[in-house]
Amino acid sequence: MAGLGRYVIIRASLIVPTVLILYTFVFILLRVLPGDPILAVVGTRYIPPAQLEEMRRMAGLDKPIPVQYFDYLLGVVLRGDFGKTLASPVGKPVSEYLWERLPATVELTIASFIVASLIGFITGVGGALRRSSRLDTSIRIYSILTYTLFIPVLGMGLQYFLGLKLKLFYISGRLSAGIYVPRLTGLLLLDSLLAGDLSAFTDALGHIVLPSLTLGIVLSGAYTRLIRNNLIEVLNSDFIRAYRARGVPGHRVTIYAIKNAFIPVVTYMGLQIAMLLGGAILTETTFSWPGLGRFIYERIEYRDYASIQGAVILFAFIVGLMNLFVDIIYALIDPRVKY
Amino acid sequence: MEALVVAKGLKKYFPVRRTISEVVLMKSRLYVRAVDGVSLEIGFGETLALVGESGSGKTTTGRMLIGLEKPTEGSILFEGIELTKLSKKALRKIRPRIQMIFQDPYASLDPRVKVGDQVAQPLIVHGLCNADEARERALEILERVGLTPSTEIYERYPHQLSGGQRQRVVIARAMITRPRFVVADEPVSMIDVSLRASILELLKEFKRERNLSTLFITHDLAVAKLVADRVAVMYLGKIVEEGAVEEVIYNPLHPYTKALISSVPTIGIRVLEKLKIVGEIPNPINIPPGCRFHTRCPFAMDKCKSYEAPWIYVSERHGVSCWLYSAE
Repeated sequence: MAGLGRYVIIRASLIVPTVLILYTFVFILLRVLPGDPILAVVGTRYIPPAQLEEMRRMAGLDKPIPVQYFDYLLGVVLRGDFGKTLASPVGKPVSEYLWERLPATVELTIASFIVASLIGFITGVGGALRRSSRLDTSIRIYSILTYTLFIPVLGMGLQYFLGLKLKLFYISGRLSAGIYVPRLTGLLLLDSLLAGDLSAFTDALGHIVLPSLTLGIVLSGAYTRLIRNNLIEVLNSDFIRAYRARGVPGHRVTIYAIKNAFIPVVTYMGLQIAMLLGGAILTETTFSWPGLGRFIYERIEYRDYASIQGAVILFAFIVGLMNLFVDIIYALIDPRVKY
Repeated sequence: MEALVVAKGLKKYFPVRRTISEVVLMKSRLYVRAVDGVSLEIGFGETLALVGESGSGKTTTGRMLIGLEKPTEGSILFEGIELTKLSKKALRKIRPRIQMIFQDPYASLDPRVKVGDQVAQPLIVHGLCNADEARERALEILERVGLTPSTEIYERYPHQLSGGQRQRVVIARAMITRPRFVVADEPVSMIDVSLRASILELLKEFKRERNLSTLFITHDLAVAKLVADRVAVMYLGKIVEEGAVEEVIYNPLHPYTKALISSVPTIGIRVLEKLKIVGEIPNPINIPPGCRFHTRCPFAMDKCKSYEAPWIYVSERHGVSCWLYSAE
């Protein structure tokens, strides 16, 4: 397994340029965008120019742009300091926000991932095994439709029908007022179970269903197509025909086929992490879900450089880490991958 | 002598997938007539080569004979048992005695399963022996097909073997259950030319040792000449000429067979006139009326366009379906 160790180290070191490129891109984008963080905070209030200069100096915005770039980067790398917010509450460390908000996004992402994979697996396998049937045609239409769905539209539709009309689920937030879950991991579903608080668990579940369903459905279509097409291809391959010719029972042939059809799907799962986090911004905004995505959305309005940069770096890091994880799984399940 | 495999009037029609607009416009479903009335017999220990262009229905015929495809029509007797009427379960019982060797050694092995386990699998699936014995016998047969050291090969994955080695694995896998009948679908067409002879030799050895009957599917008459006792030439889902291998190759009757032989440089020398046919094989959805070869046949007559030619025996071991040889 020495080979695997080296493979992991090489793959892991690739995270560094990924994060760096993304940080650079966001840094430049924020400086190019019209608007000024100090003026955004001040709003229409009158502040004497001298005081504005003072605020600018305190935020480090008076320094040359390259200095700002490296100051922030070194702060993150050396001290884990993601800077301080410029918007209210002024001066709160961004890292505190990230720490508060991250678990909500992780929880939503995991739940959406489960929804997307489950729907994708069932419809994809179903379509491939009943190829060209009415069921398959409906599944294909479904998978194309998901591409056209816009998260806020689907989200509002679900909020209206399942939330307001049928009153099955909550339409916003993570938890009802008055319910408290002690923080261990920050994942409410997990923490409430660990605390043995079943009513808090059901409450949290009632809140996460709609946002995770929304994001999950939007992302599921790609899985459906991928799994269906791969499985059809594998089912048509000679080695599957060879299994049949040898008299291997049908259900076992299907299992062999699914195992082979899944190799590319695992790669895709890694790529999807980025889409999940991207989708999280829209989903969290639609459902007032207090995660990182909504945090970024809120802070863009204030041109809150430090907060946005910090959140994006964290996102990039998580995406890199998840991709590494997927690559390791890939190497373990496919004997052809050399490391 | 009663034959081991007797197929009569085999037909296989595949429905053509309609596009959404065709479904909406209620156009009737079309069929690909891949195999359109094939009858053949394979005796004990005999190798019949099924020759033809791509799209002539050779592979579909082979798949029907081993029960991988259900014929639309027709009957297949194997050891006197009607295969087309068997239930899936009963068919599975017969499987060990009928095996298939595939064309593409890269595609016919599961990339995620060790080759040894793939070779041993038929024994285990059919409950012929336990796992340890199956391993023993797999090692033996790997050795037999020339994959040594077999204990090392056993543990390999398909991608770690060369094309020729893979094809030996495929052959080992087919032979391990001691089948009576094997369908070999272009087993050397994807192998390097330098290795073909050794693979063909291996198949011939199995044939001799075990009195194995084989349907050998190929588009290459030179290969057919090396391995086969008899040759059947297929065109657009029908057999147009059939006979002992030397009869068909040195005295081809059907214009299509003649053309096929002219196209093989090494053995075409013996054919007096070089016969060229033009164009591609027609679409099997729209098979030409009359003799299905008349659109490309240089000798086509009027009656060829409207009437299908009868089967004519020119000698005891040589038959053809062509108006040129009819007394009418």
